[in-house]
Amino acid sequence: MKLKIDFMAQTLVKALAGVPVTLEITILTMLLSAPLAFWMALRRITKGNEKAKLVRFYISFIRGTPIVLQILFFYSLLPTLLNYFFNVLLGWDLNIWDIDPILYAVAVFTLNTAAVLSEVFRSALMSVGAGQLEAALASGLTGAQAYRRIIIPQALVVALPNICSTVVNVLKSTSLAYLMTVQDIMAVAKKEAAFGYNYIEAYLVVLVIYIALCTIVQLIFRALEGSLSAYRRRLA
Amino acid sequence: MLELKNIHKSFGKNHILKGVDLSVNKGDIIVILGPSGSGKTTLLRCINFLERADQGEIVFDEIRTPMKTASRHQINSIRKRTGFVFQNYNLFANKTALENVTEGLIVARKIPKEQAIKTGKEALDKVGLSDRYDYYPSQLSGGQQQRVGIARAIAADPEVVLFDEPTSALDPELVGEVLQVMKKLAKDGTTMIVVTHEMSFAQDVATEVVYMEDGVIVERGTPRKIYSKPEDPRTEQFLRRVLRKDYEYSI
Amino acid sequence: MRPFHPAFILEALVSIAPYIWVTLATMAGTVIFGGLIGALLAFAMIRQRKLGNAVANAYIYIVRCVPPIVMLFIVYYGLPELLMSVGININEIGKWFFVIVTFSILFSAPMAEVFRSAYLAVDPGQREAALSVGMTGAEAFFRIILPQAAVTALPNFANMLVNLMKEGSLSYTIGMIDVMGKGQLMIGLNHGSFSLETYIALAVIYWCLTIVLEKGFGKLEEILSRGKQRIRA
Repeated sequence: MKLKIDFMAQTLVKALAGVPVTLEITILTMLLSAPLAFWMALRRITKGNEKAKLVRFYISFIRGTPIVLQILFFYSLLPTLLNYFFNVLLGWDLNIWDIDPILYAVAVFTLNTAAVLSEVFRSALMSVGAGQLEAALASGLTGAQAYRRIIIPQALVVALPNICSTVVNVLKSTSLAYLMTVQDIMAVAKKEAAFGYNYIEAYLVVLVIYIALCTIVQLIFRALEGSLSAYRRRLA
Repeated sequence: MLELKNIHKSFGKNHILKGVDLSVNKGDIIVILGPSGSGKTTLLRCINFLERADQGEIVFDEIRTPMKTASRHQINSIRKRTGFVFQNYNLFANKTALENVTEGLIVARKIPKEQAIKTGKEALDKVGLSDRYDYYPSQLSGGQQQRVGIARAIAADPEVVLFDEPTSALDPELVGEVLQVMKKLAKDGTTMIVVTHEMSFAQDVATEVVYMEDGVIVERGTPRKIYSKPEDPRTEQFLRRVLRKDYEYSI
Repeated sequence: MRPFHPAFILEALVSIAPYIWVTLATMAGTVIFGGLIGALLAFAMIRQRKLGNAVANAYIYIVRCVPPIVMLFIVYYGLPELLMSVGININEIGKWFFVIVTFSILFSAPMAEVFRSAYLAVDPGQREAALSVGMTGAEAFFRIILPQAAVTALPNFANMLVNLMKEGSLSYTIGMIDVMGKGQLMIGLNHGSFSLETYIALAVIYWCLTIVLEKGFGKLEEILSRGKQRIRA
């Protein structure tokens, strides 16, 4: 077997053009799913809550089905739903079919990631311990203040490694966005590959790019962890 | 019967054992005393090859085994002739009390299962646990766990039983039951090497007390001699410190 | 809005259900080979020899960065050519072969971590105690350490298994006819007209399988962890 190195170099350059798309989806997904996930985590921690049941049901569904199926499902459902809602019910004349597929991708990945992330947040919040909350309330902080100033800073440090692997997983999952006609790294490489039957070369390029991206994400999180966990370090 | 010659052991730069000699005769009960960090636990672990000594020799009934280069076969044969009681019991968490005792008999010594169970029950009876055969370690108190540990060590009728601080992980009220069992074993003529801080046990039971400090044996002798007329100032200081403590506790 | 036919969901369920075995069989193959590679990797990491450790860590790092679909395509297009260059022709082999190879590679990395952490979770005193009663190192491992490590590994293993099943659904992209593949096939045959109904049927199947796996392993863990139980007061 001989790899066509010059083809790989060309594909690398072309596929790099897909990197911003991949990053855009990943970052938007994280930003949108974080508040959603936090809300769900809180609902689940507070016991005897009707909403908690709904949240659990949702999380179970998302974690119980393949993401590729979720993509196909929502992608075939969302446009029809939106069209029905805006154009048939409200009578607007929106052109649903012209919506940038990136938005669909962000929507689907957010629905998925929020469920995963809420489990991360929940276990992190629970690891902080009731004593911390009680102490904060006893010193006169309100519930919101206690969370913002005492609980969350500690929980975040605990959650950081899991948040990192969630980001890596979202990054990896975006390689499926090509199913929604998004022009990300994978889509570009696929097109190049089919053009001259250079499949292996093209996908090896994708592999290299993903290793680089994952490494960057992990380095960023390692730096974050170092600065956030300062309170845990003992005095030398 | 058992002789240790010139044992050395270092962990990195820490020279823990600096040439220890010890000889044990059948029926001896040797109690090793010494401050923590003196190397007494390491010495015991070296005998059973849980640590590999850097230098020295172990002679077991005329069979000489170089400690540094002992083969797997040699190590196994020494382990089969000794029993070991751990400070924190180390009972097999996934086995019942009886299974803890029979495991070594069946697997390592290839004793038929039925006979092993019979032997195992006898060993547990001996330590007063006839009603706890089928309990898992997590269902037993610390003292009971340690008695299972002792039963496990003595079940195969080893020639020497090594005790590594068998009571120091126990709550004070549970120490007595374990010492009781050990005293009974001593009376039955079991050869024992015991590392402990229980001064009264040493005084009552030991045939020889060995005082270690900084990786060497400072002094040895009968308990009466060591306790009443220690020759080395280091021994004397240690005893004064420890015995006074004992005294205060008893008030 | 296009018409929705709930009845077709049932129809789809019935036609897809027989293919659950295909999905489960490929999973079983993957667990065996991926588990073996994972065990080797874990062994290399635990032994702490420099070279083995470095190779294992590099392998795990790379595998964890690769999207499953990319790995699947690389294996599917690359492996025949690679083997052809050493004179082995696998052009006639079924799709299942590529699926099992791909997911064994992907599965082995997290499994190695599961094995390693489970092994390290067993108190070293357990091994010492086993040696002290005269067992050999191998006997100590198989009789004492492994049974305890297995219980520790169980929840993580169940998690990995569910992930494997979900990632395995990607096999349809190379034409494998398992649960997902059969569903896609049906959508194709119907020219896309019952896609939503079919997806719902697929979701129901995967969701049920996940719940069965999780519940089953939960029960198994309960049974196996008897040594850890406390007396019920």
